Amino acid sequence: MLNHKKKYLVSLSLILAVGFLGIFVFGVKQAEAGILDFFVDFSFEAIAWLFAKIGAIIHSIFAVFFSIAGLLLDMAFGLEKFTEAGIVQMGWVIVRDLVNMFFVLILLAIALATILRVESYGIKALLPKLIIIAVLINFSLVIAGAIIDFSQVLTHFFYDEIRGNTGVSAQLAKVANIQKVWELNDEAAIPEKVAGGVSGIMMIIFSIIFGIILILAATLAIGAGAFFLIVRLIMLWILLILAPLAWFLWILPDTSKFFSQWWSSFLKWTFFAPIYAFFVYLAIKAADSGSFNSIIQAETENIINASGWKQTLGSSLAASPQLFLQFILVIGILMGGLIAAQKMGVYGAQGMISTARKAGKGTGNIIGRRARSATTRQLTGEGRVGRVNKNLDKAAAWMMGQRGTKTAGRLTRQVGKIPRTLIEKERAGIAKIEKDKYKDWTSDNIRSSFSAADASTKIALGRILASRGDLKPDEKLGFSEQDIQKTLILAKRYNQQGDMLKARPDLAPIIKKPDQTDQQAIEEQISKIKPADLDKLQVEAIEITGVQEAIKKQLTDETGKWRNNHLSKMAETNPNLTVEIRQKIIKPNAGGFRDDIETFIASDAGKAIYGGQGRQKAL
Amino acid sequence: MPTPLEIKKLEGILDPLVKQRYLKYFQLPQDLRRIIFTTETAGKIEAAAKKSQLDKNQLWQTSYTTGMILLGEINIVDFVKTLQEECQLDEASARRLARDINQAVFLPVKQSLKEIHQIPEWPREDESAEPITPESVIPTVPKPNEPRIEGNIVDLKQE
Repeated sequence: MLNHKKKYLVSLSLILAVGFLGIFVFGVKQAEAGILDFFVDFSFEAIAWLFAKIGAIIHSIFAVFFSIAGLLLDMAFGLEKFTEAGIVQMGWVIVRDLVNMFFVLILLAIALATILRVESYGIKALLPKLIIIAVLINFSLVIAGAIIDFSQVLTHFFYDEIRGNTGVSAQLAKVANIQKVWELNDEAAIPEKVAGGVSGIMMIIFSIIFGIILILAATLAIGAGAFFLIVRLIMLWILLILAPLAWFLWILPDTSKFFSQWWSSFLKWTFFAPIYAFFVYLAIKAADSGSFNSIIQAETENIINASGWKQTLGSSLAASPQLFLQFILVIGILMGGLIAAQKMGVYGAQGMISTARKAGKGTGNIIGRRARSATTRQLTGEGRVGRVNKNLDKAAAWMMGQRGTKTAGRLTRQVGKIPRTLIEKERAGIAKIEKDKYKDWTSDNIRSSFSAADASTKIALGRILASRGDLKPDEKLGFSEQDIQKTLILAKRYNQQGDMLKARPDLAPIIKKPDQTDQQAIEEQISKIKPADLDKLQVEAIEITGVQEAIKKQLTDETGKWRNNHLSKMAETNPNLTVEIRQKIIKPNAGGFRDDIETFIASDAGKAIYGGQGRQKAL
Repeated sequence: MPTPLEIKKLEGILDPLVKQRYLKYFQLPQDLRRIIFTTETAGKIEAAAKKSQLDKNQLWQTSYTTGMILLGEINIVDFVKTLQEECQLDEASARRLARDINQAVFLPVKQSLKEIHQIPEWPREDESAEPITPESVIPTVPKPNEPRIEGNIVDLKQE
């Protein structure tokens, strides 16, 4: 019995299999009439119906996602509690109070930097910033809130136009013709599609896939917008809470970049909303406009008239070509708008920050120039502040362990490491000024702009003039000998005095070591001069008797470091100095030079140029 | 032409003769400019003077005259005559001194000197630095016990 039943079942399965094979392999038209016709019609309709139903279910599932994205977008546009949010109110107060404590630390850092003469952390550089920020920190929430309010006004300008009664997402769905996706699964159209044979079923499958893509793209476009608007809210909350700290970090040169980063981030997220709202507005208005529809109509005809291998796809799209094009254009504008809002936010923020900086510099320069020249005078030892500085010097000497205990010495050595890096930075800054701005300036231009320059720039200018052998005063241009001396003192703080002393060794006593006499300071400097430096050594220095004696010592003493190639290089690169030295030091009746120098003087062919007849007579 | 920087270097020189000579120096060909002030040139002059057993004054005058020739202020054809007059040497000594300086100092820069002195041929160009002696003419024959050296190879078979 069981075997018989099995045989029947196998036979029926085979008949059905062959029937379906006939349908799919040999085509509908090869199926014969009669019972097979019934099976074929039934199978086709059933499959088409099944596909349409599955398609409708899938589309409905994706439609739920689309609805959620739409709801989120409407909700995100409605999120407007920024500075009033409880977390911001609470967090901002905590951070502000914390930062107020840090002001004490900053005052200590300024004191230490002033003692150690670290320009960029000194009192004149940081105190004005400290005062400004101490006041502004308390208004950081109000100022940031005003900027956010401004951006919200802009957002509402576009949002209120497009919202309507149903919300932005419904408007977008309407202009994108998203509801037409469901028309693709219309049951009434199934018999018509079935009549088309295999291509009819393919058309149903294409419609399903196509519909999924459309809903998914629309969901992503709207969802991404909603997502970024929610991220904006959270980011602005965090930025508002951290505002006091970020503003506080502006005070110190090393941390001021965080202040810029804060502003950049803040402006980017603040203005994301109005820019995105503008593009949503543009998408909706453009899709509704007549010109837009006429373009779509033209493109529709192109698709319908497509032939060849595209026929199947074309006929599938032809069911709803208007939906396809309108949809692409709306979603394209939305996605493009999202990217543009991100980019424009970043660039806009950078633009605003740089504009604000320039404006700040413009006004700051006027006040700063006066303040700097006044404070530089004070820092070089004049007036009351100068006296204070001298006392601070004494304190520094004690702190550096000269008079203190070993423990104090160890402690201060550790502290000393911090300013060392700061000094390195200041040095790099001086080198940059030399290289970037003033390198190609004429010496007269440099002299005339000297009085308006800040301390770092003055050092850089002094070094440039020294490298040209032009470190000499010009009262007409407002560049005095006193300016040169003050610059040398400033340069000494950053160990940048070398070039200036090579040009003007007569100034060495100004920055001599405590245990040196003036003459020892000059001699030390003269002995350091290499033949290649002699093109910079200025005649002004040779006027000083101490310098003449120091040079003579280098040529007469057995321990003297000047060799005959010093004289040779000097004659080649510094004619003026050569003539002066021949007249004042290697003069006709002078004697006692070392043998190597004496021999060179006698055998040097260069005397034909720089003269020396008088000495020959003496010999 | 001197560069503006070179002219600037002469600004403080009051002596017009020195100024004029430096200007001339700045217009010399580079090879001449390079050798005038060098310690090497001074050393060569000193060596030639030592060979001619000159005193300090004569050395001074010789180097001065050499410099004047390098500068183009004294013509090269008058070199022997000038040395003879300024150093108070007899003609043979002056000629020998001139030849030594010519070989050591002038010959390496003879093309530039020809240009500035405007002479087609270099005088005494073929003269050797060393006076020709019988030793310099007779080839040296190695002693029988010594290994024969041919090029870099030592002939040990002869040992």
